Amino acid sequence: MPRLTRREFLALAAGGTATLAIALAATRRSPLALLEPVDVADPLAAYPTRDWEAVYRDQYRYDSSYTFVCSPNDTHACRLRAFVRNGVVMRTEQNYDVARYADLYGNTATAAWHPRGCAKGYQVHRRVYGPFRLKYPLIRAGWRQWADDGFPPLTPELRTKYRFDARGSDELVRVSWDEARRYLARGLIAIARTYSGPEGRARLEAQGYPPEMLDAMGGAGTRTLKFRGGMGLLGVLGKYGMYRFANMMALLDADIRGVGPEEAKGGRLWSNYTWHGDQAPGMPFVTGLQGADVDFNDLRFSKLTIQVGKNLVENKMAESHFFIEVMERGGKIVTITPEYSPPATKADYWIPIRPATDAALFLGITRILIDRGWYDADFVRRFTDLPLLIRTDTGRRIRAAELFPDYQPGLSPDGPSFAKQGLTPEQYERLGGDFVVWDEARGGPAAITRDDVGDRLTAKGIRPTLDWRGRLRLVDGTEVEALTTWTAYRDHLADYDLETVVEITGSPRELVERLAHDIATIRPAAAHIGEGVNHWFHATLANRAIHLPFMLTGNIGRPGAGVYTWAGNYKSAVFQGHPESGPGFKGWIAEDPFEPNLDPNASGSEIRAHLYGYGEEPAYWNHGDRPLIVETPKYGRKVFTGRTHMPTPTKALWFTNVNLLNNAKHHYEMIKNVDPLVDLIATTDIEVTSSVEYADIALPATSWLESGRYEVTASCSNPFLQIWGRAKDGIEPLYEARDDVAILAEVAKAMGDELGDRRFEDYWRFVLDGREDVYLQRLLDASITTTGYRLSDILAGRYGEPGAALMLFRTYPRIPFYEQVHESLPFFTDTGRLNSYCDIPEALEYGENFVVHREGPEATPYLPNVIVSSNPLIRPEDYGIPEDAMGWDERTVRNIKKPWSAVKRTTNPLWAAGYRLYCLTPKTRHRVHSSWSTSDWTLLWDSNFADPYRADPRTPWVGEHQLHIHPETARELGIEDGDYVYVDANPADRPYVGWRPDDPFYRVARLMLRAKYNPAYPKGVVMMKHGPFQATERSVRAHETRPDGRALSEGTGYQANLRYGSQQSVTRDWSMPMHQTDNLFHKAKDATAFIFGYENDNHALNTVPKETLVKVIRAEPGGLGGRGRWAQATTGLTPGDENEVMRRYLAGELGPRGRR
Amino acid sequence: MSAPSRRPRYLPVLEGSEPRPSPEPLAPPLGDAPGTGGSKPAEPDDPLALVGVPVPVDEATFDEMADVFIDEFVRDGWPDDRLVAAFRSPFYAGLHVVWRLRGEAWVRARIAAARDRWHRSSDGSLTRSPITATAPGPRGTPLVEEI
Repeated sequence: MPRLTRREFLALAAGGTATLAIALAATRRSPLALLEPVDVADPLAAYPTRDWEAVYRDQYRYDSSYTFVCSPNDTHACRLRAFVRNGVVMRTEQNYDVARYADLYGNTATAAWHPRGCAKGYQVHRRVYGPFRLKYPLIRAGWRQWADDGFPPLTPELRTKYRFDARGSDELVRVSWDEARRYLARGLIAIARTYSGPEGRARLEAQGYPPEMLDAMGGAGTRTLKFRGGMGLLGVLGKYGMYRFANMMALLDADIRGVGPEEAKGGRLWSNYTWHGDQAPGMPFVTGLQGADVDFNDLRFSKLTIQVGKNLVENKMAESHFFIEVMERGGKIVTITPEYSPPATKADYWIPIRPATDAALFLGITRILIDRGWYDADFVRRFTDLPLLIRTDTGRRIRAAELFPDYQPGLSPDGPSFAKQGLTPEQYERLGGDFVVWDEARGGPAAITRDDVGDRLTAKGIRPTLDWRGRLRLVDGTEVEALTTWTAYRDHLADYDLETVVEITGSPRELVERLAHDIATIRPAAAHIGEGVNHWFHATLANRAIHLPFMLTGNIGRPGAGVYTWAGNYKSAVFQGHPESGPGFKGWIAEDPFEPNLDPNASGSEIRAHLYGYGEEPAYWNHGDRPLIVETPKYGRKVFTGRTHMPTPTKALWFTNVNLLNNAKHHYEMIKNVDPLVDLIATTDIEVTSSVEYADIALPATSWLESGRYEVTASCSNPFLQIWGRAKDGIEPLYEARDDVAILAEVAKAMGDELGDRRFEDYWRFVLDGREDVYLQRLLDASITTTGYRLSDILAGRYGEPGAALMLFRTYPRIPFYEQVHESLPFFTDTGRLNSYCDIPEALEYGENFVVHREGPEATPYLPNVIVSSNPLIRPEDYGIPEDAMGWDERTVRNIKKPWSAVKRTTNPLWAAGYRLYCLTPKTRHRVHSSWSTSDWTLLWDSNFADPYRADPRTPWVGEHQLHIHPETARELGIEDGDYVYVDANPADRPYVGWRPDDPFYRVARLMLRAKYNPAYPKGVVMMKHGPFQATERSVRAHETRPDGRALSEGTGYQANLRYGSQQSVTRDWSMPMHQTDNLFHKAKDATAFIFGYENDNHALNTVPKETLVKVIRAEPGGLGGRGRWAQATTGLTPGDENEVMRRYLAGELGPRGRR
Repeated sequence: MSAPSRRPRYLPVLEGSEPRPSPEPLAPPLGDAPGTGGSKPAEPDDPLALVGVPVPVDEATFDEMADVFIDEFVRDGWPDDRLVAAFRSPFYAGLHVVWRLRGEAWVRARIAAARDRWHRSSDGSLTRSPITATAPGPRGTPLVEEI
């Protein structure tokens, strides 16, 4: 490129204009350049050297690249490409590969999935190389001393001596991997021994555990060992592998008690989805399925998309473009949330609603649909329980054998219930057989089976009447009043007229009517529900209610239609076991440890699965390590936790891929009063979390980028099978991090070494031999959704990008209940139909046989937990608990029924005491729950108080958490925008039971954060996002003593996101009785089979963090250093403090088109 | 530029801030626990710690940060009022912290120096022909020293 040298320039300057023009032309510069008001017209032409540009050109240079799967708990599992330079990943990008994904039959995915990935994936390497990695195995000094002393049984004195009651201030010491494995192995063995047999039971009795928990142990100390593979689908080998480890504990039990395989018991498998409160717990009641979710590209077929407490804008970032496509394709969007939320800004209309009153809203809509005849009667008859007859005396559905003499069960062995869905004769008998409808054709009752749905019903010549009531004589001679469920609902909905619903919900009347009309007239219609509904105590009822309008209008099982729930990638069911393929996912987690298959060529279908472990809800640990047992005035001591759900004492905990403590509701209660009685807490993680701060053993794991082993995941929201790891150009593990599955295998081997039992390492043989591909191939073989794939083909790129393929789903996009509606298969319920009614004994006793609205046990201005109804067929048991009883468990189980006219005259005593703010705790935009809380960028993006320069040393890091509050609500409380505030919940038990103002731990536990004016939130509702890294004893000490004020723990490097307390300071565990039944009949999640009662993540205790009321008190001024106002709020540009110009701007009066 | 005084980054330098009370310790001091990030001395050239590496920072850092900003926007033609407003605004955290640390008079002086250097008047307009100001010669040698 020509250069203009100094000599040339001087010559030009001395010459005439023509010469200058010629010279400039030679240098490709315009003679007019001198006249332009810029410094250099063409610097590239003028600069003498451009070597410096290499700096910029080389910014994106890389030596190699490889793909990995970003697999957090967000359901997307995006395959990203990492670019490596000098052995370091410099950046990550989406791989734009989905359009090439194919299945065995040649189907391919649509390119419309692109773009995928999000701002979290783009910064994942900042976490990998970040300063908060857990770099080495750590062990707590006090715990090691206990181990070195020979694990003496822990008396209260010894718990203090070994600092089990002061984990947060004990020392974490670096140890070698070999030491860590041996200590962990020895600890598990010792704890299982301590609590085994009669002697172990006596020890636990002395610690006050109720007999039901001890009975559930069956004498096995291994039942006190609890394991959690955090959201294990995110890495089936390494994360779900934790449950294989739990199953292996049967070998330990056999060693300790000298029992054989027939009696041996493994550890307890802690749940994920339900523990997070993310499941829509009502779904198994309506459909029989754990949860229904659609491949996200189905959204584009919807013509009406209703988000109920769901935020598809912020919380489905990689796929939310499909929601946007609804708009582009002429669909209508409705958002139902208390606040003017991000999706509300995209909606055709937003229905504001009082928190936790969604059930009332949808009951009101249901009544409108029925009253105005806006329903699909054919669908209702063929696919719902609404034609089934109910006895008014018992509230039970009439069974055919009760009504028809000599009735023989009608289900055919060749029918779908037995032949396709795995129903057993014993289960059929326990269900009570078949059901009864009133048949219009014959003018009398007719028996129908759970197979008689859709065309199968039509083929029988039965046409059920919807509206009928009358008297029936039963075979035992008694005469009973009966009515159809439809008629019963017409009576029931008398309590949910439009006026009443508007009063309960606070929603605008015209919008409620409009939504009813839209559901009736726009098809296909879909509802998407999320944590905004599921994190409330009565989510079960809300979920059931939301289904009703869709059942009435036939918006189920069809493209673009349905009721779906979104929160967490929970669905192990995508690796579904089936008679044609094998045990599915259970072949991995529950292979029989007494008979492990050591043939590397064995098919997964040959693996013998035997679950020696048993599921359990961490929610019981979170409930003081107790089930729900209440002293009732009427019946004395009553156990509400079903036998199938019953927890055992928690004495050892090992979890991976989860910040368990940070996620625990009421978590300062856990630190203060519960965990001191746990003998071992071990965590495997990639970063230093608060769970590490309070652990006895912490093991460093590799991230997705460093996987040295194969790993596999899939998703509930897309059809992609994703395998990664062992990348040819991948990076080595950092520090001393090891792959999860290797950690598990090596600790197993260490246990075997301690016990002299080779079976422990044989159970992990192929991992220890570096052949985890054997287990992965078996998983593919054994699952009906992947059988036929060869791992080698997938890795070779036969189905598109190496490592990727399509799951073998029936339809693309996957549409739940497609087969039910199109092929007349039964739904997975007792009736084979979509259930509006529930007649299990628990539902009848608790007053939830009909879908009703209940006020919450805490978050309500009214009588806690009251049932809003006057329906005589709802006959709840109140157990004699008085209305003014305020014990948390008493409120949980007290079932009092009142019509709204009476309810609205009642008052929650907590409300009367000044706790009058609902507290919403949704997911943040830039985190995946608590993960990414270690990213400085997250803190900067996430907060109005972000400041990388940390001008105010009170800031815990480069940003901090905030409480969104309406300006007027704040001002009434004397709170300025940006002030620090205390947020307090029910003082009876929060932040922990037994708190005192002078307790130093109370200073740690009491929540303090910034208040941010936000008029999007209604008065009386505050919001703080969930998941920030909590304050710990060490982080508070650092914050208060470091010169820079950072909440950066000494000794561990833990970085808190809050100065004091946590979002969980105001939450507690609520033990919902309807989540703990033994009689709910539903589909097993991973198998072609049915179960009654408990299964983790399926029918189990959901935690409900939103169930709280708070009081907000000003703590410190928001100005720098605690003086004056937060400067930003004085600019006139912030919500609630707008100056005249800003008000004119907001009113549209600025600018050329504005009114002057 | 005069050598900056070395002071702790955060505490006493901000206008209006006060020393914070020394609280009671929550627990006995920890031992010198080895292990993860917090206890390990920072290594500024640690090739693995790409983020969050503490870099020694003093007032000169903020001065340089301010000069870089001022240079860029002076050359972009921003007038004084607009530039100073950016420093005053608390929404521009980096500039605002300089403004608080050094005061507005200091900021204006740096702007004035930049204007002189780049031949820009306070309304943003050029005061000299650009070619004389910026066209470079061979590396290290000014093309035009004086016109």
